[in-house]
Amino acid sequence: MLDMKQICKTYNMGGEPVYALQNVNFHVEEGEFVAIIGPSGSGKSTLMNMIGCLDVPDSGTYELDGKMVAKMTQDQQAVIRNEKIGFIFQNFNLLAKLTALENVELPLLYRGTGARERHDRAMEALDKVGLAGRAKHKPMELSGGQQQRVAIARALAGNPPILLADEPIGNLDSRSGREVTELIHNLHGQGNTIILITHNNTQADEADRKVRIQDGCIVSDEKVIR
Amino acid sequence: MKKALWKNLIREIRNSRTRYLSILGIAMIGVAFFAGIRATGPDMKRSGDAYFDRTSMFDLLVASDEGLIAEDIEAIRSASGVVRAEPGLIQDALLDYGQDQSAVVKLYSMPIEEEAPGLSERPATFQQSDYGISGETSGWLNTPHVVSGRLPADDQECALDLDFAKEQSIGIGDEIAVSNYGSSRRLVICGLIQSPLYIYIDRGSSTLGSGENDGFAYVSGNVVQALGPRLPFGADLERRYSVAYIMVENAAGLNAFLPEYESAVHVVKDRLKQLDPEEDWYVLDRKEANTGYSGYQDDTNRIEAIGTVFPLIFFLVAVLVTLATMTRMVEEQRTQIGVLKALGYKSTDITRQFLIYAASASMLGSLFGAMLGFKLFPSVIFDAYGSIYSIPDFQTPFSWPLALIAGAAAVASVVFGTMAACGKELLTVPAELMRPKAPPMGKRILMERITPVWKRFSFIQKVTARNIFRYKKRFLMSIVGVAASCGLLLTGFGVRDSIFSIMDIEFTELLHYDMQCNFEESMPPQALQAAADSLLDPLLAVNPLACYYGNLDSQSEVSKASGSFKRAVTVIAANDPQGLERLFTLRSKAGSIPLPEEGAVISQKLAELMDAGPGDRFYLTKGKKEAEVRIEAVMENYLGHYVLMDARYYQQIFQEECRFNHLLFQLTPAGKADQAAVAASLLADERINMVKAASAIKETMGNTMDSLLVVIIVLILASAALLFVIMYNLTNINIEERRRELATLRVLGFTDGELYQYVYRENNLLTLLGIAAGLVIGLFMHRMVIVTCEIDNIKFVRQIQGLSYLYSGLLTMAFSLVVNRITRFQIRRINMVESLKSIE
Repeated sequence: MLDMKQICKTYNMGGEPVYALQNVNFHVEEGEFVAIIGPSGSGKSTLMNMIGCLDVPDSGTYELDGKMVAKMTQDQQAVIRNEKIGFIFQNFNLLAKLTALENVELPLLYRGTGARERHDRAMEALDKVGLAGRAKHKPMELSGGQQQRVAIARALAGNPPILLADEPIGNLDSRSGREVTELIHNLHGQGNTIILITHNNTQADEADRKVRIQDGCIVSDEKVIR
Repeated sequence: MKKALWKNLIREIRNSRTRYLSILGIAMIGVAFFAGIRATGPDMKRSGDAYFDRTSMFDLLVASDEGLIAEDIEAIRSASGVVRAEPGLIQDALLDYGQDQSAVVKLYSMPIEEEAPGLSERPATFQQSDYGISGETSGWLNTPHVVSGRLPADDQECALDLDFAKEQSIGIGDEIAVSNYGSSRRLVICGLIQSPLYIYIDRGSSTLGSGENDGFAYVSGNVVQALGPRLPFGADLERRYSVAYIMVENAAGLNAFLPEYESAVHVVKDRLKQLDPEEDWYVLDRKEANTGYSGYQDDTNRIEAIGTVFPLIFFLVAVLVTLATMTRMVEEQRTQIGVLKALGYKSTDITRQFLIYAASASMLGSLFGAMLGFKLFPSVIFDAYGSIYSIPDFQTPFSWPLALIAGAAAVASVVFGTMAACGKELLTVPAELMRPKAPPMGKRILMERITPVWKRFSFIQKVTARNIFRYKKRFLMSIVGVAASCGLLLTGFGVRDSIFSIMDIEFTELLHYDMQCNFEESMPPQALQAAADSLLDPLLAVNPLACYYGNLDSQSEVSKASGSFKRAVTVIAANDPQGLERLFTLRSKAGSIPLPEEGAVISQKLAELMDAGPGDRFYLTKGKKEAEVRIEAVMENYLGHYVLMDARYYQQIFQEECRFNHLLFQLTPAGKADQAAVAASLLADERINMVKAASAIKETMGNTMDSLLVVIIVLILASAALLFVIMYNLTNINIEERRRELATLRVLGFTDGELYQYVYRENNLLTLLGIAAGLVIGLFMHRMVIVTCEIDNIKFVRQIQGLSYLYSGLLTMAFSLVVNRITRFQIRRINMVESLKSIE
């Protein structure tokens, strides 16, 4: 489903090269629940950006759902992002000026889905995250946990094969965090492929597989034994 | 575009009303100013042309000292290119009105009932005196514009010059008398009129009085004929006309102020000249026959010149600020761009949203600006010129080409700015976009290496110094904005200096006479001297100078040789150099100039216009006489054109005795207190036909310059308005951009006062730099504006007074302080927690 080979990425910070990723090989099967864990500055966000086509690697190959994406143009990558990947960000990244429903509709809108179907699917997604009653609220009128659930609904609405979650509970209180974690588990239960990025060992342990990254290299990749 | 983005866009506009309105406003003021000022010149030309077309103003005029006979008129009519030719009579006359008041006017005949050409065809009972009003008046040439009353219907009526009538308080129904050559006619005023022959406040010259014409009147041809010596011409029984007015084929369809018209008319002009084998016809076009006409053209050209230079300067500034605003907007929405990209939106879709935002604001602004500009600026400026020119029905049409050019320029620059602003962000990968942008790195600046200076800086001063080099782009933009503002202000103050200094210098430093009077008949110098001694009460008037004083035409080339432009100049010839130097300060930059025995002293503007200097020659025309004058020296002078010479030199060049007709004198304090009494006692003498006080001339001149001043004030106010918006906008952006930085400083314990200092110290420093640059820019802009708006017979002082520099600088600083004051609340409003939390 997802296959990365020899991915390298270097940043330039104040004149000093920073090797964010070094010859990373990474593979995810359909239906898997993979946690990527590492301390701050380990390169895990860079890896997630590569997976989500939010950034391009300096070298290496990346095959997603049978397509080579590393060499695609920006616009082609935009299509991939729209169809294959649902994003869940640490800081939600909802558009403040749109309502919850409209935020969820965004990816469908782009695909040109008809108004009726769009509305229904967005409501269905909001229902899944338990926020059908808050459809008309603006993000500022929702709590952090609710905002993150709207973001999840947005990720679900397009029905993408992969859900990519970057520290989804990093900005939430523990109760909201638990709710969101539970939601993610449910989604996995329903057959979604999930890639979770976290620095929290406990949360990582709830995945099927744990990939540890440090100083731009994958240092361990193991099944979680419960 | 996708519907969600539309929705987002509309929300965006609603949420950022201030920004949207500021782009709209800048585009509006820019376009209004640009299009409005640009349209003024063409509007004035169009209105003038429409007036000339409506009143069927002549294209060419044929005059002859011998008069024109019916055959001449027929010959003119049969010339190809002539669609219409009408004979007319013109005669200078004295006009007596009210109680013992008199003035010099020009009488024009109403359309004349023509007779067939050829003596043989004339009926036996022909009455020579019959130049009665023709019944056929429709579309006659130079139709007066009747403001009130009607045109004369018989030999007892007269339609009078509206401006003259107003000035002298003459109304419809009043009785006047016109006289010349010993004949006189009593007439009743039946109407007040304006004529296309007199669009300028100045009524030209006359063969009577001081040589200055005061007004005009339309009367029956019989009246004009009765006052003339040349009609009828001795034994010749044939009718003689003074002029023939000619309308050239297709000329009315052309704009009279454009070259196409001139070339169309010149073809016919050359043809008519060839009709006259004896070469005693004068064939004149509108420019040559009408002083106001070319002046009007010059003024419209001048305004067109201002219209090209001035608005462009701040159109550029407006574009600059819009660019800054859009860049700021795109930067503010980095995260949103990142999110949309992450959701799979393409760069073009996102760019389009910003483009539509900016383009719609600038398009709406342009539209409003054009609607406002085309009405406002031309009307205000034309109103100002209304005190010099009388052209009824000023037209301010909406000019699509201009609106489209200005609008397209505004929209294109805004769109270009937006694309430039977007381009950088859209090339950035979404991952990067969703992270807050790292502020530019603070670098070691050159100043830090100058340790003794750096060491003395306080912490805040050090930060300011570093920041200025850190945000070079925005700071450069602020400096340019302030510099433009300050430069425009200095230009305004400078133009005011230039205009008002000339009044001061002219009437206190250069001209020292308080009054002048003119004698109807010229006489030998001793006779006038004697008359002066007996007329002037030494308690009221002192230092009289008897002289020849006349308004003659000057040309840099001989008149018949080419169509070189004629200028009315005041020629003064005296035989008492000390007396003359008491009343006129003759000086140049090199020092004072003695009145030469040979050659003439001419005023500097005349020398400039003729492109001549000491040693060069030019020509003066006095009636049929033409004299070649050598320029001995050029003197400082600002109002009008003067040619001063010794009476003996006059005699030499004109080959005739220099007879005197004029007295110039000063008034004692007692005389000054009662100028009217002095004037009345002089006018009581039959020989004197004109008395004029210098203070009255000063007033008239003041009016002329006031109209130009209005134009300048309009320019300055509009600039000030725009620049205020610009400064407000830039400061706003400055604060918005640095919210996080300021919030951080507040977290670190800076007080509000220290934060203001942090931001405004930079602002103030930039304002000072901007002012310095602006004063230099203003110096050049002032020079440019002065040169483009100088009126033909006025020379402006080129220097700007020291106080004006001070005022411009202080006002700009004040502007900036006011803006600082207004924007303080935005700093106060910065919420530490919110600003430091997430970016969205």
